[in-house]
Amino acid sequence: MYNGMRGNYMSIDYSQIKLVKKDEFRWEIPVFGPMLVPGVIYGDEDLINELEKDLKGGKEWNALVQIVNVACLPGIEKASLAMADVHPGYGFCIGGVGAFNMDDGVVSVAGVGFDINCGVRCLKVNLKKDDVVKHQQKLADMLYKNIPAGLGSKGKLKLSTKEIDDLLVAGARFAIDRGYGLEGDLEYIEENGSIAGADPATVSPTAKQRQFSEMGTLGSGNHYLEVQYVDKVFDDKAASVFGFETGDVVVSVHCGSRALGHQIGTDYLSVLERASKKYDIPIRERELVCAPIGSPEATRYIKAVNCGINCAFANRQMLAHLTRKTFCSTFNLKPAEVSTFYEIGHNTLKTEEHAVDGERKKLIVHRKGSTRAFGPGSKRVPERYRCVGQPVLVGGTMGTSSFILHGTEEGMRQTWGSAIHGAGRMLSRQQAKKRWRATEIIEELNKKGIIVRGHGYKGIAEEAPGAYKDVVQVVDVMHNAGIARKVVQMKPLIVIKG
Amino acid sequence: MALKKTVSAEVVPPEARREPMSYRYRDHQADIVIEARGSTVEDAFQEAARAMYDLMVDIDAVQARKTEEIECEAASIESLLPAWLNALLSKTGLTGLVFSEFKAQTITNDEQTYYLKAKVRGEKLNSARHNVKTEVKAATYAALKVEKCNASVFVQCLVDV
Repeated sequence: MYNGMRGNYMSIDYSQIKLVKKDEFRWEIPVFGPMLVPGVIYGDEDLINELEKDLKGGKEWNALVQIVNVACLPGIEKASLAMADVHPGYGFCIGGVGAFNMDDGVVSVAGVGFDINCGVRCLKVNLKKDDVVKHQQKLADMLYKNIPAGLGSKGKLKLSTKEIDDLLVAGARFAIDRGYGLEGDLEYIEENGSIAGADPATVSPTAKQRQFSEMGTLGSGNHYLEVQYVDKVFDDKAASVFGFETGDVVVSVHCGSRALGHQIGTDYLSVLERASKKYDIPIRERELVCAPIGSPEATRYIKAVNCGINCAFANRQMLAHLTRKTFCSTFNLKPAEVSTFYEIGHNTLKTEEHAVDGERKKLIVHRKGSTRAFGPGSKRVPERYRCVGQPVLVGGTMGTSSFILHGTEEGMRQTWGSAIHGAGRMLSRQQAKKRWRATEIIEELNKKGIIVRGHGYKGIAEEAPGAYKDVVQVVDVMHNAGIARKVVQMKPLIVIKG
Repeated sequence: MALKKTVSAEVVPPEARREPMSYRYRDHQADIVIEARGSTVEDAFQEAARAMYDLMVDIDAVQARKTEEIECEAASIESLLPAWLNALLSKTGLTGLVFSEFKAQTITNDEQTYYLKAKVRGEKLNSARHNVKTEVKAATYAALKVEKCNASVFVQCLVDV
């Protein structure tokens, strides 16, 4: 009964992992053993040293091992990629990207995660920093009151099974049709707020029932709503196209598909476990259970993920509109004065066409804690931004900075148009709670003029800025590597946490 | 900032009413690894459940007012552990109940599948009384272990928070 890992889990000699510097911001793990492609990691000397230390120190869960394990999955194209915010995850590292061909590639729950389409909505508000500072406490109180957050919180919209089914296909459009938003929001969301190929029949009744009262909730952990202002402009032309000036107020909402996404992940873990054995797929770690693209199991999983993606779109649409209404009532603004700048997801799998060895190929791209970052000219980027490239919204740690970057042609060539999603954790939650107290963090941020309101204090300590890498350092790597280029940097005024 | 080597486990001091070291948490950069121990595999699974709910709320404050039944299955004894924990999370999601008492029947299996039935007891989540802590999204297959260790059974599982 207790045989440990059985079946088709194959061992690999991780002592053979070498890191070879290819250029100033890119390292490679050359192919060895059962790897099908190299590992490619974006970083600087410091970030790479930390990864190597974890490996040499025998750390049980380390990102380099996870990058190598993904490089062994069938049908992976070009490289097992890791962005500069890389840290250990489960199966895939966080910041991990893997693209698979349709002929012998696989899909994996680990490449998407349980918070399907976790991402960021960025709203642009027709206010300047000083306007918010004058009413900062009142705005913080109103947002804390109006945005449902934290474990056990309930949304304002209660849905039936039929309505959930409609939502899983319509995405953000569902929320707008029920009065949560403006028509103009849709164009500035990835996939226009609704991804095709979603089939509610692939989502379990349990997943739908769990979501009945969670629509329009923020969640907890590293989810947040931040009121920010543009502190620095790096690229005048891109900032002008995006519509930003110094002092402009923006709001970033970071959350995902809530319980429905979690349940889809757990439902399909067991489906793909059986599929891995059925199709005899060699995998290095149990969490990397997967199914061949084109198999019934993979097809169902993709359709279910698309439902999860649409659920997150709808969730963020509702939260965005609750935020909009709060600003409108606090500052006497018209709804159109709180517009959607852009919305991205960073836990997804998507079917995309990319150049592979000179020919266009359809691939399934898994981005786990990685943001899509399509370059200029891409038809999937809103027309207004197309000359610059897709906005890439990078959430900083609580109280530090966030960034807006843009995708590049170089990124399309090197990383399937993928970039970082945040700063990346350095310390565990346990370590963070030992080192910092929520009250100290709140006081420290207050001194910097930042108001923090949290529904749970432990979460604030776990999310201490010191627990994360330096977001400026991580952003600079991607900028200097030419993968995604800086446009503006934002600083927070108000942080609402679950 | 120098990173500490995190191979050794971070131990949460056990409550006086529990046997020492029945469960504890191990460091992982983004998430949390639950370790639990019991004299039988069912006992170890129960302790893992306690460990998970103790991440979410102050489990000592959760009273056993209502009983629910849990049934789950998986392709292996190892994956039965996350199946069990995820079935509990689903039950919490559907009912709003958090649990503090877990009574598992003997795990059974046929050629393809392992089965677990249990009765669990708890009450509706009350933010004021239960000291709400961390939301657990799901139990994963990462760091998964179900092992006999001398006279006891040791289980381990990473949960996504």
